[in-house]
Amino acid sequence: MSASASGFDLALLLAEKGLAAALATLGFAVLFNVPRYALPYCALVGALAYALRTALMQGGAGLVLATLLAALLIGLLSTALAQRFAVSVTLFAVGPAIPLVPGSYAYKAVLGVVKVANASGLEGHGDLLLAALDDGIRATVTVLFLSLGIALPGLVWTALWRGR
Amino acid sequence: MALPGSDNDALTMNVPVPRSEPASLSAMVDVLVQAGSLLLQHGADAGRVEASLQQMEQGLGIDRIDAVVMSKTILLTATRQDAHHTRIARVPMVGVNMNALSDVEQLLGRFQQGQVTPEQLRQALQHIAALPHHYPRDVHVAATGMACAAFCQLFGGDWAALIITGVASAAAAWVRMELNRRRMNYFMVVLLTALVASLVAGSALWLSQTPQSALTAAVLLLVPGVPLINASIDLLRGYISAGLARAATSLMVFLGIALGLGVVLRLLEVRL
Repeated sequence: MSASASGFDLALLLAEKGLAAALATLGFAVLFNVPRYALPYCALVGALAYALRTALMQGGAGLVLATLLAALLIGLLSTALAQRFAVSVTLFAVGPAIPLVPGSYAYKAVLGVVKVANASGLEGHGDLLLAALDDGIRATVTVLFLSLGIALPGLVWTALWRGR
Repeated sequence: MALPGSDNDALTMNVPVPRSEPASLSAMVDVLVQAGSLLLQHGADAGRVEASLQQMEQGLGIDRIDAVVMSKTILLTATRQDAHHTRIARVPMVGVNMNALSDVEQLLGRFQQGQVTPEQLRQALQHIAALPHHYPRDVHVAATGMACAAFCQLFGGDWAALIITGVASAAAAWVRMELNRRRMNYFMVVLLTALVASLVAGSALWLSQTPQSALTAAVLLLVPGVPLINASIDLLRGYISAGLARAATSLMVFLGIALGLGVVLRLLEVRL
């Protein structure tokens, strides 16, 4: 989709990606044995966070910055929900975080490293290495910022609460 | 619940009743280790486990709790006056279970507020450890298929790719459950599951316009999302050894995914 897409197209794209992210979140929340009452909230948080990341990246933000802001949204919403239901933040944060995990970058990076090790001769090595390095760096830094964003609102909340 | 050692029994009967407190230091350490193990094995990060354990000092009447939490081990020393007791516990990994985590944390919270006696705490922890998973196996398999199909949509797959991804990852989820039940080595489980997922997803080459999206999404059920996030949270909060161990485990899992997928890509002569 081009950057000059109309507002309607963008809204449609965000709704589509948000819905898919909600289903992905829901599936993983079930795998993680999240109690039934929390499932709709998880799906909603997952949809909002993924839609935010998609919107930011459509607006030209990079993967890492967009993921950080989406993760902050997850952190904020799940901290609020955790206060409301008097449970721990992870209950609401873990499911929505999964669609933001750069899983495919990570195994493509490893696959790339295996290809480099397997390649005969030196020609073409540079491209393979560069691609693997690119995927690997992207995956590592994105995961770091993802967890930072999720943890930050909770840490700030605890600090404020302790300060009182 | 009726407790064998509650005060009413002690008043009405003259036989010596085993009192719930003051318990021996070793019994307290056992309770602490059980609480910590439940948290760690169901997906809590090391910092959270240590914090939860250290908060129990007052409630148990212990002067000092020193806990070191690593990726699969808890070392714990409880000190009361001049006596101390230490346990090293190996913690088997059982997979992410948010319900058990939140049950344990709420229980520890009520214990700190004095609503739960140490004996009740011990029994409640055993009860949580024995709780079955909320969702039956077929729901688990279907949820995995739905999640990976949704990932396929996020990667721009068409409807055929979505359906193939769903079937492939559901089959892989079932294979993974069966292999885990036979207590196979974790790396072999990842490798074989990735192999199954990508073999089934390979049918997208003939049935879909976007086969790459199906092959990429079908193995995503294996991505160690929670260990990865916990690894970086541990590293961020200064629990370096736990964080590095989790990161290394995740890296091995990615290697297993890449090898399983790579074999199939090589067989089918596809480039991702």
